[in-house]
Amino acid sequence: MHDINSPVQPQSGNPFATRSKKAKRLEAFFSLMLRLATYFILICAFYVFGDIVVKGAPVVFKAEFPFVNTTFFTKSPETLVVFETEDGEIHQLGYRDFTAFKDANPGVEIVKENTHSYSAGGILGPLVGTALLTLICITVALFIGLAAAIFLNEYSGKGGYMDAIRLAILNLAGVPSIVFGLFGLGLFCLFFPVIVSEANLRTDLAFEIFGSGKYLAFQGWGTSLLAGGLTLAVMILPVIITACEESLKAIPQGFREASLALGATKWQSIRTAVLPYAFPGMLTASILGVTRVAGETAPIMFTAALAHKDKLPWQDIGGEGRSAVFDFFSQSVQALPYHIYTVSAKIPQSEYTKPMQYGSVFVFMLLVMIFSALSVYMRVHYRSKVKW
Amino acid sequence: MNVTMSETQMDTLKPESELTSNARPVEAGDVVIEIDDVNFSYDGNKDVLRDVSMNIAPNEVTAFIGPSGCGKTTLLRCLNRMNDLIPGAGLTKGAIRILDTNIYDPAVDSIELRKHVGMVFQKYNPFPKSIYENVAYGLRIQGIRNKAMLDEVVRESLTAAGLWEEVKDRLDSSGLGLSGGQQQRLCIARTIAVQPKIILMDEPCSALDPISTARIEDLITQLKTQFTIVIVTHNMQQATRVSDKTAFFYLGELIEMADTTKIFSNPSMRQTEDYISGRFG
Amino acid sequence: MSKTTDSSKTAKSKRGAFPRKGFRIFGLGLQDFIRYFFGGNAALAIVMLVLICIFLAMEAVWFFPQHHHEYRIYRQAGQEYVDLIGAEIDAHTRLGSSVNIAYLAEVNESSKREDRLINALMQVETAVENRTERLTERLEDARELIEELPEEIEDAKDDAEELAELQADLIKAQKEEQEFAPQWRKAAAEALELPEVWDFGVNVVKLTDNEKETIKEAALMAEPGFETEHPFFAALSEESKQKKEVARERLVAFKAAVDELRGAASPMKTLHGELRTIAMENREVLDKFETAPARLEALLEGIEATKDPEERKRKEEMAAAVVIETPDYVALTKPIYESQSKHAELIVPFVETVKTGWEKLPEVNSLETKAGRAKMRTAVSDYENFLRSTEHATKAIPEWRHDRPMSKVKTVLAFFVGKEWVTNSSWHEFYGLLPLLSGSLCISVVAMVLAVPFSVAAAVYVNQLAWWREQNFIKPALEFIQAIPSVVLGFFGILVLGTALRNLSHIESLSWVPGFPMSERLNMLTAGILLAFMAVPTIFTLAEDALNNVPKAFTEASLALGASRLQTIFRVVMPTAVSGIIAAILLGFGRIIGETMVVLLVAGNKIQIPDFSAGIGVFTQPAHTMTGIIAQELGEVDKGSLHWRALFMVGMILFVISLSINFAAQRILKKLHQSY
Repeated sequence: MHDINSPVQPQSGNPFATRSKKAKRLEAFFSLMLRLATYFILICAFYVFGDIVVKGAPVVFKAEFPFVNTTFFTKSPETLVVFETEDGEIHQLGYRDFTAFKDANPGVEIVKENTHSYSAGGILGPLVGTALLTLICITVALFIGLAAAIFLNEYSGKGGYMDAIRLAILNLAGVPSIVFGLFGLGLFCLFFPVIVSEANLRTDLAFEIFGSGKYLAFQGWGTSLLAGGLTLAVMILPVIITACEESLKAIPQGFREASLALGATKWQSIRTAVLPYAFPGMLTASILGVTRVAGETAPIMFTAALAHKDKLPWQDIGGEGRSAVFDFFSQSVQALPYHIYTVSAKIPQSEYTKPMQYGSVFVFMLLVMIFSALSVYMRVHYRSKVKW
Repeated sequence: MNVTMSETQMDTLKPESELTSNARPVEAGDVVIEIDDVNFSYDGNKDVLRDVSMNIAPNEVTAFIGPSGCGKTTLLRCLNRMNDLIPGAGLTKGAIRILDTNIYDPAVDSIELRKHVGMVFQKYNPFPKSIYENVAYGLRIQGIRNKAMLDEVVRESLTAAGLWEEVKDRLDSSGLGLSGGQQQRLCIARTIAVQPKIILMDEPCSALDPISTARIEDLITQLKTQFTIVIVTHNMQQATRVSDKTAFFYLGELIEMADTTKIFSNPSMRQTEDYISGRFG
Repeated sequence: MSKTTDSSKTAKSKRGAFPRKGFRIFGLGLQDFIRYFFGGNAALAIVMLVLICIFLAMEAVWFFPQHHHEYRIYRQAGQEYVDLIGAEIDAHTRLGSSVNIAYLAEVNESSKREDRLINALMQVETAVENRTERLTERLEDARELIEELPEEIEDAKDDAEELAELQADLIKAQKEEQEFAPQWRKAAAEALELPEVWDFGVNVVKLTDNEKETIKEAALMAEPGFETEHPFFAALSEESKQKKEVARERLVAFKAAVDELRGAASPMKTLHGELRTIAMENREVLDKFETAPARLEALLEGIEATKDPEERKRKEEMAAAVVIETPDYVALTKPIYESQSKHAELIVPFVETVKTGWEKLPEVNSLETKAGRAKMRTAVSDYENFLRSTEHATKAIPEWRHDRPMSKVKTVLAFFVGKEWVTNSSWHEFYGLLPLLSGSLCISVVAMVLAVPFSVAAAVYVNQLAWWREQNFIKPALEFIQAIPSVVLGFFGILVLGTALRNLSHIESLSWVPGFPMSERLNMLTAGILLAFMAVPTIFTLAEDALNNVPKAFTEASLALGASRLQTIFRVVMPTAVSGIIAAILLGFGRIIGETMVVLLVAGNKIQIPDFSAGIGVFTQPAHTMTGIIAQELGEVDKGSLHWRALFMVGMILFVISLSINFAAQRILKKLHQSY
């Protein structure tokens, strides 16, 4: 305890008094700059989100029941016709409704008529197309990716082969998406074999299948759902492998050893003591994959997507000796990102095109964000819940 | 506990310029560190140190011993406010005065404090820089650029740490290339280069082999002529070898503090005796 | 277990106490097959990478021979020669337009204020017209009738029936007039209240309230039937006209010099036009000859495949009509060789006239307007360029030979350092990488310059300074940015950012910024900003990882020595993490250069090498990129054509670039992991 008689030390006597004001100010300044830089990025992000939400939400939601613009989700894009009738009224109708309107009111004189491509209807077609592409992609990529991850993590040894695989995965991750598009076009659309009754003349590689009168021709699947899905699968393979491997790594070594020590085979211990616990991690990986894949445009531009299509993928397939399954997978589809590309770059802009543009973008962002949030949530959730 | 200071002693404790202060003759009975009824908590609820009070005299080696988790390292890290780095942690009661200044006073700059209270860590941790730069680091951050002065301080510090002869030809090679014991001595050299008044050592030998440990212990004995040293150790033999005073902690409380010879030969508390005779811990 | 391994010694111990169970094929058990199954799947990564290489290379490899071939025809047809003259004319045209724009900028400066007001009025009037279109028509009709009918009534006095009809018409017209006129005024007033009417976009005009009122008044005077103009604007346009006239008089010497300079090329242009026609015809002949064998083959194949005799006969006739006759190259190129002396004759006066014209132009700094001075500065480089190109042509033209062998190296170089990318041309298709490569690189530079400081700063802040709650909020937020699809950012760029930036660049007080005001909404700067935004999460995450990997002991040691937080960061943490941060930056760069949708949508898609004479302002020019060109053109070309292969070649280069970046980054990271 202090001796109460001890002289009170002057403030300057504090040996640990603060450093020079200049140094402190400099330090505060730098910290502030770093902080500002960080928040500037976030502000930009919020601005982008905000703009899309503010302009997109009114298209998708409504004030009265059922609160959602149902046409937007139940129709495919079509041409918007803006016309003025004799009485000075301005109508906005989709092309089909417009034709119906003309048939119903033959007496009405249409004074002025403007068309805006892809600006009416809804986004059902693109939504369905994207869902199918994503589904195919995730199924394939998860299967291969999980198997590869199991090999890398469970059977891994050291050696050239392992290094080569890891190097390939790392490098595959850095390939630009448009190059995957070129690759998918070359491999799946123009090269992969199909069984046809009459080979394309331009194909050199065609083999007759013994006596069946059919040919196995290496002429490619053309622009198709399957080609697009597989291209996307190749693209996210590195992401899926890495994520699956992470989730396998998180399983303590003790689980495997315990299982092996009880006389289980390697595969049995993987199946029973590793995979069940790695499941949440793999689920997270696949959701992560979905968010990546759903947003990609470049790889599907030449392999699967098309701007306009009246029918949904499951309508009008099969029949006349053609297999419905074959038809289903070999058709091109609309896709939401490609649809956004079309409406924002390939059509003339006007106030009438904006609702469709912002609506599509809003729905797309909403979906991607939901999946993204889900993957973040699951990662945090399982990390905090699982303790071993 | 209540050691009363005479006015003359207060005078001798007046702060002087940093680089000369250590040369000051100190008389026995001074108090450099005064820990006054301290409680400490990491989260604001549960106190991991309770009612700890002690005085540490200058130019002595004080050893903190006790079983794992007894709070000795926590207390050590309170002395240069390294615990500030942990969010939510802080003293909940009492005060720590070093050189008669409450170091938890808002007027105290923790950074200035650490220039006076150096620290050597359990695991040697030289920076991934050259040996020279490692030792010069503390001066460089104080803005000293004078090459001759840096050279001088580096040489002196390395000599004081007993490392000069071994590394004088390779000052520019990486500090991470040295052996474990050398790296720890490099860390000590780095600490004494800024001329602190107090050096805190947190189990400095626990990661070292016996020969390196012996060298560090020698070094500690030499250094105490210039510095006040507080050392946390698990190794009771080490405490007997290097320290003048020993404090025994148990479950966050200071059980006993006395001259090392007394503690190890004739402890006054039962728990201390149990511990040093190896009955627990 | 040793028994099983040493089992060969005795037959008895062969099965041992712990025999292997299960079936075996070639000594491989089920477990091995499972292992190989997984291994095979993992190997798919390698297979895919190899396949990508193969499929890109397969198309790309054939590019060069085909490209070479096209160039040979280009030479044989004499097109190369014509383009030598064309280059001179192009250089001259560029020079002429630069000086002319500089002149016009000077003239228009004098009446700037008036012209802007007049433009504003025109925009407002157009808006009113659009709004009232239908009413205008009807009102016009009605007023016309009111004007004309009295005369007709006068004429038709005798015919009672007609008179009555006309009078009824008149009444109807008057009624309509009374009905429509207020309607028109109401609609016009409504139009004037719309905010977008007063948004002048590029021509940002700050109007005073008074001027706004006058413009409103003037716009309402556009009502049909009133043929008068608002006196204020009548005066204004008169004033503008006069001011321009004064300026023209003042700048008469400038104008004369410009005209002299621009007129100098006309004889050369005539020569060029004549030669061009000849070369084009030559090209057709040669193309026909070159493609004849392939066409014949295709027809023969077609004949084989056709069963219908009629069709077959028709095709056989067509096949017979294909003649493979070597063209007479000498005769074809004769007029071209003959023109060599003509060119030599024309070139001297051409250059001389341009030179004298140039001498008479005013000095750059004597010009009054910023736009004029900028254009004049461009003109200086245009002029040098013109002199160079004429010099080059004068030397190259007499030496030109149609049958000189085309060097393979040159055609390869023509791709890598070619300055033009011209496709779908009836003249000759040029495939030069430079415009695309320079566009890609410039955009990347913008993006990196913006992204690196922000993302590294954010990484340092979050890792070292932020409060843990802040960390938990910032990190996921930045991950969300990563999840924004690139096409959405491109969309945002088109609809919001591009316009916002252009409007910003037209603010007078910002005109000192290089490249401002921007003429294009979609340009490299806009694309670069968006790409920076995309690269931020990548660089941030990796850099934050690198900082996180710096052992805590380093930080503690530094702090224990009395270093402040920032001293610790800049002297210990950052230097330790620097290679990780560099790797992060490299990977961010890789992501940027390979990004497609944003640049396709936002970069402006103008295939040209950016004009670097503009200094930093170069970044506000539009450009095209390697990724963008593939996305834009691949869908529209035939498989196997030269264009198709050129695009694959670009893809191949992109692939190589990104692989190298990736590889470098991996190397750095690996070294880093070895160091502690």
